[in-house]
Amino acid sequence: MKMKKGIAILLAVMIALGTLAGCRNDESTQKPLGAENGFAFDSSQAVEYSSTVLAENGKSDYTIVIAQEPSEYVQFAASELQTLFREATGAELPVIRDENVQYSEQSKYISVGSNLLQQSGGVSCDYAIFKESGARLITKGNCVFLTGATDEGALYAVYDFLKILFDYEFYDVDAYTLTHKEKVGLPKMDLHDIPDIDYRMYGDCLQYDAVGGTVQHAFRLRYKVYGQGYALDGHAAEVILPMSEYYAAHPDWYSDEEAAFGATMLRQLCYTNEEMTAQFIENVKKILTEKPDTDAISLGQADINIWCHCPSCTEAMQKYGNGNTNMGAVTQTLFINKVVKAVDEWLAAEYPGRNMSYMILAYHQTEIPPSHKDENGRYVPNAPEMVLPDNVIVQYASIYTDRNLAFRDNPSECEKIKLWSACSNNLQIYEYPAHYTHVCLPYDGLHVFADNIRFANELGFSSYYMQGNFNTESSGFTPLKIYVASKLMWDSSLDPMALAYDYIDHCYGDAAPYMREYFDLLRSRIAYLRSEYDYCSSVFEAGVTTTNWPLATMESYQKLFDQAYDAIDYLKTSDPDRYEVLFRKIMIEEMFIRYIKCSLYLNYYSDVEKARMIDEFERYAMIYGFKCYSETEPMSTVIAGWRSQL
Amino acid sequence: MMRKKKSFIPALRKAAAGILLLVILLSCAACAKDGGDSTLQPTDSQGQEHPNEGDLSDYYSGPDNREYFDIPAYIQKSSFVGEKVTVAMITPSEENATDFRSYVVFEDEPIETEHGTFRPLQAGIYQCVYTYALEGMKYRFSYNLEVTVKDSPVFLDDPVLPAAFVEGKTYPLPAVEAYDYGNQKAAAVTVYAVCGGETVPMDASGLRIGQNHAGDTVTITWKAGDSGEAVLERKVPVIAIGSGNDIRFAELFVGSGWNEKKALDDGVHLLTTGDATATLLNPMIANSTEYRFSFGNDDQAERIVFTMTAYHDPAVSVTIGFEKGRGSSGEGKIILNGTEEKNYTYSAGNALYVRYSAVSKQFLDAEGNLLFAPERDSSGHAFNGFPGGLVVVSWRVENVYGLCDLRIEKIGAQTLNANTRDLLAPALYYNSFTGLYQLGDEIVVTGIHGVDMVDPNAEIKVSLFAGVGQNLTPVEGTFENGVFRYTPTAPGYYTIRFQSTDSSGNTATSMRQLCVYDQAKPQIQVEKDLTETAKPNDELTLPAASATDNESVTIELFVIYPSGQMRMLQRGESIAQQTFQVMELGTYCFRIVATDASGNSTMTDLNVCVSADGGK
Repeated sequence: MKMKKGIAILLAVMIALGTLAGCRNDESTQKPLGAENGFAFDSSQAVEYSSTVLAENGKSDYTIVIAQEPSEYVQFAASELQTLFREATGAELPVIRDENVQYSEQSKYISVGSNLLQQSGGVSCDYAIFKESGARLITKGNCVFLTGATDEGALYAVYDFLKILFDYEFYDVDAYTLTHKEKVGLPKMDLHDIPDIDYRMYGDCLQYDAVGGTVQHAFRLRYKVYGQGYALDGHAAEVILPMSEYYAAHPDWYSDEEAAFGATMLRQLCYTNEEMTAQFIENVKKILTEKPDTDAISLGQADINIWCHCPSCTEAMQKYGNGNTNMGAVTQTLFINKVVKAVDEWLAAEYPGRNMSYMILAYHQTEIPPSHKDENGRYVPNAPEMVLPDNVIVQYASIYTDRNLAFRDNPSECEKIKLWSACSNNLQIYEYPAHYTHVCLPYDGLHVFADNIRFANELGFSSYYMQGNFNTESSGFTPLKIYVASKLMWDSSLDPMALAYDYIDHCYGDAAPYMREYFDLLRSRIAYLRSEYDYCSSVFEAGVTTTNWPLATMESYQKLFDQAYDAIDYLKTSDPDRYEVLFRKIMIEEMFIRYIKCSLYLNYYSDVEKARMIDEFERYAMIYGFKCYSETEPMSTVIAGWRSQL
Repeated sequence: MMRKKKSFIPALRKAAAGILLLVILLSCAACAKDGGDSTLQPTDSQGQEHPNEGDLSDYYSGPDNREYFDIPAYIQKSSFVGEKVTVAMITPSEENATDFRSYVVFEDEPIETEHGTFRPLQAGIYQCVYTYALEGMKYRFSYNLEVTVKDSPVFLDDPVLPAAFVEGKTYPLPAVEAYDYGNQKAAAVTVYAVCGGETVPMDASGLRIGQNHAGDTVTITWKAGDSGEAVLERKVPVIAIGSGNDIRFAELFVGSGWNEKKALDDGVHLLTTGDATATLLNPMIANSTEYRFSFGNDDQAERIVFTMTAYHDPAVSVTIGFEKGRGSSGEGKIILNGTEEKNYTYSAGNALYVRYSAVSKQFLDAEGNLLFAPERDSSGHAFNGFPGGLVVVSWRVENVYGLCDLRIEKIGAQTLNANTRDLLAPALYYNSFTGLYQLGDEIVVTGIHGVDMVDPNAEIKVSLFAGVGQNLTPVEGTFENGVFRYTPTAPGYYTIRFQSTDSSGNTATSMRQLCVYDQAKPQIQVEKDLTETAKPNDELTLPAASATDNESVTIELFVIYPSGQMRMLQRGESIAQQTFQVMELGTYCFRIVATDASGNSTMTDLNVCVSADGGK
């Protein structure tokens, strides 16, 4: 049974404090929620309604109020509220700015986000409690206030409000529930809804305009978009101090070694070089000046698995690295502390009130933190210089970890994460829940999602990122994983299997029973492969083999897809738009079967069948966005390989 | 041969066309005034209406406009019901003609043609029509073909025979049918063959050409009708190419006009002082067979024309001409079907190369670069590949102005030289077939034969085995007349093996795996129930389970934890009873999955809800 959120958070804090002596939680930010912040939102609990009517017979007296200069979040939130309210009731809610709008008990407003109405209504949200994405829903008089400590929270308050009124739930593109009502009353609310993980992201092509996605898809699932609000994201070192510009004149600014990234040879920075550090700081200042509306910047290393081992760097690693001269995190920490201090001082002087967050990576050579377990079993930094300030986000991306083990079941991962918490209060888990070498193949992220998110929550991590496939559509129930992860990051106590089945039931129409059977069989197959062959333990797993995917297995899956298509066939004439929506969702999953058959079993088919199979795969890949066969390589390469067998 | 090119329409013709149009429009106005149909119907000079194929601007220009078309000297204008007719190859004479169409109409209905031929099935007048558009005008030509009923049976097939018979070999005779359209009944057909004054023996394998008949000609005669009044005759020369270790490779090239044929170290040389054609005796597989040839010591011919003709449909052929003029080196042209051309540089002794890809329907050069992707064959009809996958290849030297030495260097994997041994195994050919079947389906593979450059009688053997890899158990299928059949009685993987052996003992083997599925799902039997509720730390007794099916079955037991983690607990022919301790709160799902060899799966879930109070 789900505990009330406030109590759950309190317990989590106590556990964290009790078990992680090295954990650097600041008790002043962990005060209990208290009645002034309302009760925890629980969608399973009935809400009491007043006699005031929100809407009836397609008409409403209510108006949505937003700030004079609303943020993107507030604009989107108001738009969502207006659109979905209209769809559910037929009533149009006008949207107005807050100029000259004052609160009174009788006035009928729905306030979205921070604005003058909210101020005059005496509603507030403490950032220390609500943080980035916590939501507050409160009814005062006839007014409804949907807000948070930030406008992001206001958006989620809108979704919670729609959940209460109309059982609104967003699953995926073209898949949401919304109960239509002729009459809806004003609920009496004083609720807060604060997620377990404050900063949630799942990077996938569904969110990126450049590949046909939309950021709104992320917002509706309560995700931020990777890099949202960032002046630079990802592996930014190469952008801040590009080799093409500086290496020729300053080779000593870069590592002695180089390594390939795709077709390009790259080097890491020499993080102990003072001259480089000075130029780096100047370049960061320039970037932040050019992008005044950002509040975060990545300073992340290049995406290559090497590090600088010049005498200066080696000496530093020797000094602070427990004798480990391969501990890149040492020189990175020394460097970042200098940079952040200098930039923060500059911001305070030049742009007072502008608070930046800085992101670095615990990845490849910087995965191991400069900390240790002391004689009392507490996790402590190797030196005070190895502690990072709170505005530095450490993105912990253990790319070589065994993905088949949840963090808590993996002693070395568990230990590393706890060691990192000795150096930073601001760790972000970066997980790899997809198949990257062959995007049409499945990876069963559900095997570890809940455990990993709960582990992060228990340790007090406020930030979690899952990396999908940015550049291309993929099979393996990716949208289902995105949905389940979004729900778990918000409330890690939820049942992942119930969420998964709920997704299937709501997203595949009459084909749902066959897709559910396929989903169960697929998970069973992967569980067997995990047990026998450690399938997909590595991020770099290829997995396109006849052992993993026998033809008989593919044919049995194919029968389920055939039944799925048959089940929706009647929609071709009765509702062609709906047919296309469902066909697309089913086909995206069937692309796995087609990919395996074309890759491994073309020789079982006649020439005519082979040509048809390849042509169809190519057509659907084009229509449904399967641009790449791997994370970055074009699908046309593998299709050309199949055609060469004809 | 290159098409004539005319670069303009004389003004006089335009004027004449305009006047004619005016006349027709005025005629239409008259019709309209009289209340007649205002749709313009093209008519000829006899006032005969023709099917309206276009808009109001279409008109029939009449026989006077034959000058807008290239018309061959001879056009077949009469035929019999059932006899194959080749429609005249008539093309626009104007260079920029567009929308060229040719079709056959009978009683206002279009008749389907294939490669410009059709068999009229009714007596009457068939109209062969040709139209095209140019600069806003439409042009048309047609002629009538009168078809009558023959007073004797008509042969329905055009037998395809080799360019020559090799002495000592056996050749299957193509089946020929005949029909008596006058009496509306099939006609019995008899066949016999004579060579050198002697009857050639025939049996189920075909025509057995005796030894010592090289230089003679086999005359094959088919007769149909009650008194054999319909006669079809074909003549095929007999040659000797040697046998065993004494193969005379030069004799594989059949044709007239050659002064001498000899095999030397660098290829087979065909020598002539006049235009001549050499056809490779045996058909070759069209796809990916490479041909390398050149001029030898003497190159006094302006061009070599290489031709590929479909063995099963001689109407389909493509020519590629290598034209060099009267020099030994310089710039020349490679010409497709006498129409499309591209430049090439030739020099003495350098080989010419052609390879055809059946997949892309393209002709390629030695580097695999595109030479031509023909849209039409040499007779101007749409080209969709060589039907049947086999081709007869030939070379022709043209405009010979002195001594010409055509050198054939390599065909397929066979390098031609003075060696007299046939070292190359036959190529196996069969019509493409699927490898996936449901139980109850019949496995049928057709068109199975061995294609050997030297031996037309390569022996074929087809075997089918249950299993794959090392574990093969023979099963009994039937193989007759190039067709293999077998109906599996058990699902599973099978291996089919094709072998072809030529008379020199070279053997080619090809194997494919087949998969036969059944649809029946396994049945799971669980020994007893499992409790539906429990408390943390309870130890559950998971029941034993088994599965039944008509083929081998694997059964697996999984646990799905409340967190979503999924692990396999057991796998095998059955599931043994075992204990399992539940630790977490939430629902544990114990899933049993039974899967048979065809991949059919059945699942059973046993759910246990773990709560603090154990469900009380």
